[in-house]
Amino acid sequence: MTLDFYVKRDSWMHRLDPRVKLVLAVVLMVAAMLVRDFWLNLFLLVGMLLMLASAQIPANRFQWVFKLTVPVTIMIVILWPFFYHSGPCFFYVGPLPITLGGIIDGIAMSFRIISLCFACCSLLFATDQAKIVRACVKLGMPYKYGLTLAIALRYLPVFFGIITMVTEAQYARGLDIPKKNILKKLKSYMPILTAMLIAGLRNSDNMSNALETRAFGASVENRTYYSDFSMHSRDWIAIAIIAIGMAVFTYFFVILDVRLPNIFW
Amino acid sequence: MSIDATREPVIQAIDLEHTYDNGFQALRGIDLTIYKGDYVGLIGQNGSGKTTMIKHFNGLLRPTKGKILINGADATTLTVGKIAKQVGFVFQNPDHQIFCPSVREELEFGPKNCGMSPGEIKDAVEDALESFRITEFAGHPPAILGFGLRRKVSLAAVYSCHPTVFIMDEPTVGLDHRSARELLDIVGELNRNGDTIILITHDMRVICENTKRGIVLRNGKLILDGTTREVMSNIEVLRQTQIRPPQVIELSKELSAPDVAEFPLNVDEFINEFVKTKMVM
Repeated sequence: MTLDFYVKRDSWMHRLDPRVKLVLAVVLMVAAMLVRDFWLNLFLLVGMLLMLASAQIPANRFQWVFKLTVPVTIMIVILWPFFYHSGPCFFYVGPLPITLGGIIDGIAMSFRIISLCFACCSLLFATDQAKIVRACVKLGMPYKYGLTLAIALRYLPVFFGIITMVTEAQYARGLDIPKKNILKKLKSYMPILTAMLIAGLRNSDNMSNALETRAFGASVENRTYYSDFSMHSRDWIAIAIIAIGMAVFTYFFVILDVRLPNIFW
Repeated sequence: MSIDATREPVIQAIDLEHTYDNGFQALRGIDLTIYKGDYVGLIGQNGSGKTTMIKHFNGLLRPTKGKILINGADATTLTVGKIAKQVGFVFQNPDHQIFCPSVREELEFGPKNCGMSPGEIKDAVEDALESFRITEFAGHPPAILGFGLRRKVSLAAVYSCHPTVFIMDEPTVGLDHRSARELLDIVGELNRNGDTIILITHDMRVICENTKRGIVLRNGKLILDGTTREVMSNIEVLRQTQIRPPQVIELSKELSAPDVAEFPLNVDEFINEFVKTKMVM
């Protein structure tokens, strides 16, 4: 898994203004949270995957999202039927009926989790991190917060590299992580976490000195930017499509609560 | 270098290959034997496979083909922790190891993992503090010491486990001449006491002035293995790997007859070879 999310391509999604992509990510996240229906959750997830495919993002750059969400989705599918009951009952666990509707709804909720992850990541796959920060600043975020965000995103892979190095260094000193006892396992991670924290603090100290020696903070009002962007007609069209799509979705599936046909029973 | 039956091998690589998950083949069939008491300088360009190879020596990486034997035992049957009792690995950045509130506790960490008794731990720590000349800093937090001292602490912390093989990745990087000299003197003493040292460095002077055996890797293959003098004198092969021996060797080659195969490794040898000879003449 690489934490360098951005995949450089020349697709329709890459050419969109980063502000439009920010709006799209937010709209997709809201849609994922509002949708209850099994089929809508599935269509939303498939729709996002098709969107990424049309943006020429290769599957091996986003398949880690599935791997990361597998434990959570399995847990949801197993536990959801205990709390939601609908349709034919398969069996009882004590007084609790395990129903087909509960299982279907659990699967729908797991689709929702994966869709939420993809809604966040779709922005990062198709947008350079510097442009995300620039977009946030153009939308009103103070520059120093934008830079903090950029450094955080930039340093995620570096930090994971430090974790690997620190773990190897402690293994090389005979550290053995117990497999079974959770408390002992947590305690044995302390050398790794402490060394990592010290390395992180030292890094941040060096970084702040490096920023200040390059005039960071010298001129808040007159700060200039090397690369800039502006809205084109394709961006306004995209905004219009997103707005109409969100309006239709909200009207039919939230206000009118239209449900797609149940074919399971 | 063929296998020397009179000496005890401590690490053996047999047709060692390693291919990373992304398909990159970092090691392409390495056959190598490190003997007890060797002081090896491991040289190669960035990406030649040095770090990949030495990570096999302490079990951090496992071969995708071939074998690694540590004191005769197959490394794949041993955990990294068990190998750490025999093979100590000092990372390039000491901050990747340091985490304890005091130097003394930092030095105790390894022996505790190795299962030493409280008495043995105390002796091992005192020995390490004395050997690395950091006794006065025993109670200090290592994280706030200067870089040179942190480097010494990281070395001492590995030494306190009493491994018989030490692998050091660029131990003199970031140190001034005096600190580097001090550190290498300590490492030299370890070797004179019978420990095996494997040193990775890009500093050819460090290799020439300290090590007894040179190993050169290029593109995952072992291309030179001999005494330091033999390896460093092989200027043409070193040039192909973009490695330049110290100037004293290049100058000696220019001043020597074409059939001369080995050259002085340092200034003192050069003076003895060229200057004093000419003065006598």
